[in-house]
Amino acid sequence: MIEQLPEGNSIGWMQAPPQWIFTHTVRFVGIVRIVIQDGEGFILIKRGKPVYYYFKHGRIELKGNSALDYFNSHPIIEFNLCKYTPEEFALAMKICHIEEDALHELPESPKNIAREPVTPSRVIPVPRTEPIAEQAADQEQTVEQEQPSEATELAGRPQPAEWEEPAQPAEQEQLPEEEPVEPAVQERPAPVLELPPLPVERQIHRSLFRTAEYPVDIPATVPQPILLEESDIKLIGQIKKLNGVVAISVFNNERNILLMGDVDIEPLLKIARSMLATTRKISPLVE
Amino acid sequence: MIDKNNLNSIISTLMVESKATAAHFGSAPLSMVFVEYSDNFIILGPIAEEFYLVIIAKNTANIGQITYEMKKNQQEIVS
Repeated sequence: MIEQLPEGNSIGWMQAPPQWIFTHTVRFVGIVRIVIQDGEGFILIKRGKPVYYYFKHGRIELKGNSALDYFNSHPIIEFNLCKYTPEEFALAMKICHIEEDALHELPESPKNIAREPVTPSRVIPVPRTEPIAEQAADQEQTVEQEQPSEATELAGRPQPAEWEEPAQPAEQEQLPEEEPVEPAVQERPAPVLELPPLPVERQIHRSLFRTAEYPVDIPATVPQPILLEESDIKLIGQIKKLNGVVAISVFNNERNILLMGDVDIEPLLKIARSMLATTRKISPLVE
Repeated sequence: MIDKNNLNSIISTLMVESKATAAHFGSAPLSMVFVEYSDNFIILGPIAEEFYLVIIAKNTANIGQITYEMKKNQQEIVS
C-alpha cells in the first residue's frame, strides 16, 4: 500500500513524540511517513485531522487504531512530513479506501481522546524510585534478562493481537473495527503487539522521561520529553527554514532529542559532544 | 594568565575533532574553527600540516577583521 501512495513534497525527517505530529499539523495536508526499526507506516492527515493510520512490518500489517497504538507505544518516533496537493491527497484517500464523506465525521485529533491503556510491545521494568542516570545503566542489563520471561508476561494480558496477514483478505472484512477511518474510541481489548523488540538505544532513551510521566507498564498516554516545549520546536523549525540550513539537531549527552533535516546525525553528534567537552576545558585556561 | 601547555593540547584535540567533522562532509578542507565564550573568542586555523594558528580575543574584538586578516595572510604565515 505504501508504495502506491503519492510521494508528496518532503519537508524533512524528524524525531519527536507521536503527539507532536497531531499538535503541529493544523494546516498540514499530506502524509507522515513513519519508520520504526525495519517497519514503516504512515498517517494521512488533513488539517490536523488524522484520516488513516497504517504500519507494516514484514508481512504483518496494522491499520487504524492498532497502528496508532503502536506509534503511541514509542516515546519518540522518526518520521518524514510530506505535503500533498489536493489531487495527491484524493489519490491517497482512494488507495486507502476512504470515502470523502468520512472526513466530516472525524474528530479533531487523537490527543483529546481518552483511549484505553495499550499493552506495550515490550515491558521494561524500571524501578520508579531509582535516579534517572541509574535507570539507563540498569535497563541495559534488564533487556537481556527479560527476554525469556516476556512471553509469560504477555500471556496474562488481554487478547488478541490485531495483526492482519495479507494472505487473508476475507478475515479483514469480518473485522468492523479494522475499517480504515476509526479514530474514535472503541471498547476492545488492547492489542498485544509482537513487533520486534526495541533496540537497546531506544530503551535507554525511555529512562530520560520522568517515570511518573511515563508509567513503563501502561504507556497509554505519550510521555512528554523533559527538554522541549512546543514553542522551542516552533523556533527550531523557523531556523530550519532559513536559507542554507540543511539540518538542525537538539541533543544532549545521551541522545538526539529532535532532528530536522535529512542527515545521518549520530556520527556528527558524537564529534560535537566531544568538541563541546573539549571547549569546556579551554574556558578556564583563557580566563 | 594563559596556561600554554594545557591550551595547546586541548586545542590540538579540538582540531582533530573538527577535522573528523570535516571528513564527515566529504573531507572538505578545514579552514577555521570558531569558539565563542561569554568573555572570549577563540579562532583556530590550520596553517600547515600539524601546525595551527590560534587567536584568543576578547568579546569586544572585531571578529570579522581578525578572520579576514587571518585568511588574507595565511600563505605568508606558512612561508
